[in-house]
Amino acid sequence: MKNQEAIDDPQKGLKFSNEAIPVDDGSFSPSTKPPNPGGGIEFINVGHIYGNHKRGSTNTEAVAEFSVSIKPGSLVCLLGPSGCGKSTLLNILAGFEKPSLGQVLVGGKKVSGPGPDRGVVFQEPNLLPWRKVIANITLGPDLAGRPKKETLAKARRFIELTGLSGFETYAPYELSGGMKQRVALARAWISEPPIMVMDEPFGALDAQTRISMQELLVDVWEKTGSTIVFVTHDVDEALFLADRILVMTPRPGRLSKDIISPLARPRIYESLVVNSDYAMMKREILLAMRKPEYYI
Amino acid sequence: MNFLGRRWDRRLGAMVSVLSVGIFVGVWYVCGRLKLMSPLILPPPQEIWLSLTEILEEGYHHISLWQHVGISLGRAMVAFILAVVLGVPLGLAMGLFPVLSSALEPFVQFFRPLPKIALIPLAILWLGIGEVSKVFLIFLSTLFTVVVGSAASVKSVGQGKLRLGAALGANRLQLVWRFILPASLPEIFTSIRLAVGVGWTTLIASEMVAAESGMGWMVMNASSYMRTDIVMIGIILLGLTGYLLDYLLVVVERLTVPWAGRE
Repeated sequence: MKNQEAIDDPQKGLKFSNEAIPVDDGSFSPSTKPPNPGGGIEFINVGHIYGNHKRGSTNTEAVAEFSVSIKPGSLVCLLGPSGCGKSTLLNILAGFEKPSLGQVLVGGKKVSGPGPDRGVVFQEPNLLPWRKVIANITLGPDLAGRPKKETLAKARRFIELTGLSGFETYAPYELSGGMKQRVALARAWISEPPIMVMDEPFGALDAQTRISMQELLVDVWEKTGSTIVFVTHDVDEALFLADRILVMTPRPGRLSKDIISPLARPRIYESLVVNSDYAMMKREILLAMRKPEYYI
Repeated sequence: MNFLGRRWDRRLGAMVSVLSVGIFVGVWYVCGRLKLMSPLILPPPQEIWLSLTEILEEGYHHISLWQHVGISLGRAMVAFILAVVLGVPLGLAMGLFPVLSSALEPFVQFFRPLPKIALIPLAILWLGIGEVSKVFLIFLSTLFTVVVGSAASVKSVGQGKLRLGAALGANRLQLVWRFILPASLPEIFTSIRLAVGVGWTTLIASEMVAAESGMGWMVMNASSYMRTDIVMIGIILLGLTGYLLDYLLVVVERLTVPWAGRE
C-alpha cells in the first residue's frame, strides 16, 4: 500500500506526488478490453446555431468549428462551463439535434438521428415508473423484440456489473438517486452499444455517491470496451475518468484544449489528489476553461 | 412532511376529520333543540333522521329511496363511461396530432365552460324527454373536461422520456404505446376525477327534464311541496354518493398508477 502511506504522511505525499504516476500493480492490462470496431467518432467542423431566423439578431451560436476524432474504446470527457455548447454537441452525437454546419460520423457512418448504436445516459435517470427495475433495464431489447431468455441473461450480467443485485423487482420510486442512475447505466449498456453518450449523469448526486459511481463507470467501461463520450463541468470528474479531455470555451463553444491524460489506471481518488500530473493538468484545464478576463 | 416540516399522522388526520363533522352536526342538533330556526327553513338533524326512516320504509312517490339513488347513479355512470371511452382517446389524439387539436379546440373551448342547463331545450328537442337526453346532458358536461385533460397530459410528457425512447430505438407506435400513454395516465386520472365531479353536478339539471325518479328529481319535487327535510335528505345523499364515486376513482387510480406523484 505505497499510496496509502503517501496520504497518511503529507511530506511523503508531496514527494510521492512528484513521481510521474500513481500505483499500478499490474492487475489491469488494457488489452483485456473487448474490441470495438464501430466505436470511432468523427466530429467534422460541427457548428450549431439556435434561434429564430426571422427575428435575426436573437440567434445564438452554441458551437463553432468543432472538429475532433475519437478512437474506439476511449473514454473522452467534454469539459466546460455551462453554456459552452457541450450538451449541444452531445445531443448532436446522440442524434436528437441536427447540426447547422458540418457532420458527425459514428463508425464511419453519418449520424442522421438517434439509434441503438449509441446508448444514452441523461442527467435525469428518466426511469419509467410503471416498470420494475429489471423491466427498465430490459427496455431496449424489449422494444427491439429480442428473445426474453437472451435478454434476461444479459440483464443479469449488467445488474451484477452495476451492483443492482437484489433490487430487480423494486419500483423506481423506491430507489435512491444513485441507484436510479445505476439502472439508467445498465439500461443503456445492456444492448452493448459501441458508443455510450453521457450528459452529466452524476451531476445531481452527492459527492460520495458521485465518486463511487465514477469508479463503477470505469469498472464497467473496462469490461465492455465501449467508447464513452462523457459531458461534465466538474474538472475532478473529468480528470478521474478520462483518457482524453476536450476543454471548451463558452459562447460559441470551441475546443480550447485537447489533453491526453498521462494518469495510469487503476486510478485511486485519494492518490490522485497528491499526484503532480493531476495538479498540473487541473491548473491547465482551469486556465483554459475560464475566459482570459477572469484572471487578469 | 408538510411545508411546516412536521410529520402529520394520517390516523390523527382521520380523527380530526370525523371530529369536525361531529361538531358540525352537534351544533346543528343543539340549534334545533333550542328552536333557533324554523324547521321549514333548516330542519334539525333529528327531524331529517325521522323523515329518512320514513321514506326508507315507504319510499318517495311510490319509488323506494334506493331506487332513486340507483336510477341517478345509473344515468350518471352511463354518461361517465361514455365520456371516458370517447373523451380519453379523443384527447390523446388531439395531444398527439396538432392538426386535430387545432380543428377541435374551438368547439371544446366553447362547450366546456358553457352551462349545460342552457342545452336542456335543445336536448329535449333533439333527443326527446326520455333517458337519452338526461344521459346526454351529463355526458356533455363530463366529456370536455376529460378531452382537455387528456390532451394536456400528452403535452406534459417530458422530453427526456421521448428522447430516451428514440435513443432506445422505439418506433412511433411504441413511443405512443410504451412511453406517452403510460406517462399520461396519472394526469388522465386526475382529469377523469375532475370531470366526474363536474358531471355529477349536472345530475339535477338533467333530472329537471321530465323525470319521475332520481335523487335530483326528488330534491326538486320535494321543494315544490315545501318538504325541506326531504330536500335535505336528497342533498346529503347526492353529496355522499359523489364523495363515494370520487373515492372509488382514487382507489382505481392507486391500483392502476401506483407511481403517480412519486416520480
